[in-house]
Amino acid sequence: MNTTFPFSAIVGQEAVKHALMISAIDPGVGGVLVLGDRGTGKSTAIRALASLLPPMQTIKGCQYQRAPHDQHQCACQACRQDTPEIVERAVPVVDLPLGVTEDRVVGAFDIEHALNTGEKRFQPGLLAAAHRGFLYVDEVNLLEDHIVDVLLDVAASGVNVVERDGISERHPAKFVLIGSGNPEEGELRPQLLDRFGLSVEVHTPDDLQERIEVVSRRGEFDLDPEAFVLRWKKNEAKVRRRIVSARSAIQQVVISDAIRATVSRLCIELNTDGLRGDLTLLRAARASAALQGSPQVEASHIVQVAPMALRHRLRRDPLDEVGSSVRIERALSTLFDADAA
Amino acid sequence: MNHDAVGIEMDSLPPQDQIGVLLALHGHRLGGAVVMCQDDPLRAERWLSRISGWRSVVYPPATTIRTPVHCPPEQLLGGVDLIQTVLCGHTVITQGLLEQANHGWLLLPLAELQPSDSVRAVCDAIDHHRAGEHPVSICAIAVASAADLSQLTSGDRAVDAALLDRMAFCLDLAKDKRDTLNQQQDDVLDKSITSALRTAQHWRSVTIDETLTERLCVVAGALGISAIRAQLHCAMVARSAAALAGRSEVDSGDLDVAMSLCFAWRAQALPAHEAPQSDSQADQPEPEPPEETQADSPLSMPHEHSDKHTCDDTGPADDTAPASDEVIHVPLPERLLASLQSANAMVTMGAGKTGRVGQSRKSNHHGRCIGIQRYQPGRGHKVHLLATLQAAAPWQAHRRHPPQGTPGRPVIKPQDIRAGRYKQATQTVVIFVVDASGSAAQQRLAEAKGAVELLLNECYVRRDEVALIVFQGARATLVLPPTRSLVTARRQLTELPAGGGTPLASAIDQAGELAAVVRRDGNVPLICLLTDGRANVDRHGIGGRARAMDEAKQAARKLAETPTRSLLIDIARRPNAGARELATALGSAYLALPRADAGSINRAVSEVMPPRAERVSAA
Ligand SMILES: [Zn+2]
Repeated sequence: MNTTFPFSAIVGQEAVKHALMISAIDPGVGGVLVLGDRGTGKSTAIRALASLLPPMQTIKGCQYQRAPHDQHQCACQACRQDTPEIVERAVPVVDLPLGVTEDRVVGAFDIEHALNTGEKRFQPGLLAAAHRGFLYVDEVNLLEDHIVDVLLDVAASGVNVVERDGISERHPAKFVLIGSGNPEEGELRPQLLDRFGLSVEVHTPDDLQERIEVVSRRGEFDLDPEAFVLRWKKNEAKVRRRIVSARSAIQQVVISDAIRATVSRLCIELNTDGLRGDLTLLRAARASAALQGSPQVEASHIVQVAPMALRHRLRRDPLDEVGSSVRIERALSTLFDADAA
Repeated sequence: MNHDAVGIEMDSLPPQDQIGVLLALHGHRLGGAVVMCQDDPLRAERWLSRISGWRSVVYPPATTIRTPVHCPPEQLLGGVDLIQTVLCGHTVITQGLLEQANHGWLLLPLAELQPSDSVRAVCDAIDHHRAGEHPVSICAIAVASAADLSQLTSGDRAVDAALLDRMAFCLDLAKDKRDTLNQQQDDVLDKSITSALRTAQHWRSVTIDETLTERLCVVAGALGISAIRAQLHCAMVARSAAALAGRSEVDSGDLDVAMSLCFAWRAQALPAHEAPQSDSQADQPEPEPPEETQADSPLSMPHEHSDKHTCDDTGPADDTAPASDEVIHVPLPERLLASLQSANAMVTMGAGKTGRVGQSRKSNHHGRCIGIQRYQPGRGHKVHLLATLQAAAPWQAHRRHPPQGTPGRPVIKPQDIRAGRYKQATQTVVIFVVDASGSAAQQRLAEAKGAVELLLNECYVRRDEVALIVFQGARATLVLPPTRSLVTARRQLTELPAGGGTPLASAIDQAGELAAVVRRDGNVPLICLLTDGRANVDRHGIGGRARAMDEAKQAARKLAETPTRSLLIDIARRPNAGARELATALGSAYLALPRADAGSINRAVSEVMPPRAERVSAA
């Protein structure tokens, strides 16, 4: 088993880390799209986050990692036992391999079983494996359209329905979709963009000190991963505690009418497409407030998360050279300066 | 550690041996090397067999796996071999080349011709030490026919930039004069190299001073090398160079060697105007004169390989729609219809003008398998192996008594053989979701049925498929799965009894699930929801208006997340806020039945559905 680079040891990449933590606190925010150059460690961050999260309880041997008290019935062998054994396991991070077939994603007819027993049986796919965890798609912009549609559909509904090859199967598949891509290698379809809750950009650090820090930490890790992980254990525990307490506090975080009004004014100001911008921004701000231990959503939380919640929802004017993030920042400062005045 | 072991200074070796000894020490940590050898690929083989020989003195012997020239990703990753599986009667898994190359070398001849999916599989193996689900540890040797760095990074001999990014080294074997050494010198050299490899076993404990790390980063920055990976490779190489020389600390000479091996070729691949001259660059050795490659390299990292992925990109981004608010506030059909299209383009990413409908799709070259039929020879049918096995499977136990054929193999009879039905054009499937509850019945169920009939006529003209979901009482029921038979649909509808509660949430859930199935088959779903929007039964079939309404809206919002066009026809006696809010939550067009004569319904549907011509152009 490969040792994972500690989440807290990742240098810089604040936006990515923040977005991933939000998605871990409130999966309902929707997936995270990470855009950036090759070799910026996009997949490191998500793996690191998943291995930091507290393990989840599940029925031993269940193919769908069902939670012990999930009222949804599960048809698997393990769950049908009278007293199923409860075990702990790490939060799954499932990678969508390259050139993956739809069968592999949604699950398919189990040939081996059919040949040996003459029975039809469903063999769960990657969507089942990602249940209650993360599904990571590297270079989501290069993935075939129909696979992307399946992923987004199931991510939104939380249920995988398979009706084909004489198989009729439905099982829960609640996961946070993390897509990464390098826009230079293929534009993302706009209609795919705004189905991700949050979107962040990563760059190779410009700052020399930061680069040096990256090189020395990675170097240390590569030499002796176990020792490195041990050194970061305390910091990891700190982040874990923050996420766990944010998860339990989030329902109590108050969103005032004033904040709601501000958010809708911001979205009108930016002319974002659809209602999803508003809702995602509020949810993300709430998760962010919970993460920072705040009892209510403040303007500062909106300012923090507005770029990641909205930048991929702005309509692009081909003649407008100004980047989305800049437009959001401008709108934010106009809005909050006006409020202060 | 062996006390007789002596170190070796990197400076004393030609580049190909420098790279060779570093790869022999731990090539799997360095990704590998891209090797240019122009017209003589055997140079690379000879070079690799020498370093493989060095490595085997210190480590267990390493295998060399050569991939075919156009290696499909399945061959790299392995998996179920269907033919063998049928023949043997049990699942036969073939081992992929990556797994076979575990702890050894993966040689990619004519690397520039490798399909990009295969390249990505190799990159994945290098990055995450895995091939599919199997752990692997490989060192890749990409053999390129490019004559120089500019050909390596752009033009028709360019190697995939993603692969170049993973490689620590680039070696030009056509120019390297290592081959001129004689046998005796070789033997001596081999001895000292293997002895150095023994010495270098302590490489993990080699330290690198912070000022050297800083220098490394400064130089990378000055050379315009932003990739962190190259800098990590460089640090690792510096450490290894020190270890090979028997030092416990990296000195500036080690770093210089590392930078010349890891940075120089990347810097030269940059455009001339972007490679700045700096002090730090001046004092690092250049293995090759830069002028021969810099002048004519117009681009840094090429992206040719990605062109084919972008070809089905959607139209310009300004096709996207204005905000949705217009939809709800416009009561008149005409203005409603005008905004319908744009509003739907906004909420229904997959099916709008900017979506995939009407576009040629990259996966379309064999068409999309949409179903299975019995195989009939002479009709151009393509055998569908999986379906064939599936058809034969239930009979196996029966057919084996008395035993027929070879024991352990499935007995497949001609009647088992299945062929796929392949689809060329995208089909629209209209999913009617009809509220047959008591409240709706008292209102205008009859008129609703009439409206659906009108729409069915439209569907007939368009050759659309239809499905019917009816909801009443405790739950929603799929009365008619997607079908071409509009007659059946009409009959089902006419005979529809009315009464009971309004389980709106279940209805929306079920419509959404069916839409997903439709989409998955490569078709375009269109949901047409006829209701008064007065939910009073929740998902569990329990009565209660507040909870039922909440759940209905929740279900609607969930459905709105998917790329499904929808139309809500309000069948209440008077248009009501509930239905309209529901339409908003659904992101769907809203049409109040009272104002809907036959014509306006037709127009509404025409607006929601893409024109026929556009839909078939995917064929
Ligand atoms: Zn189970």
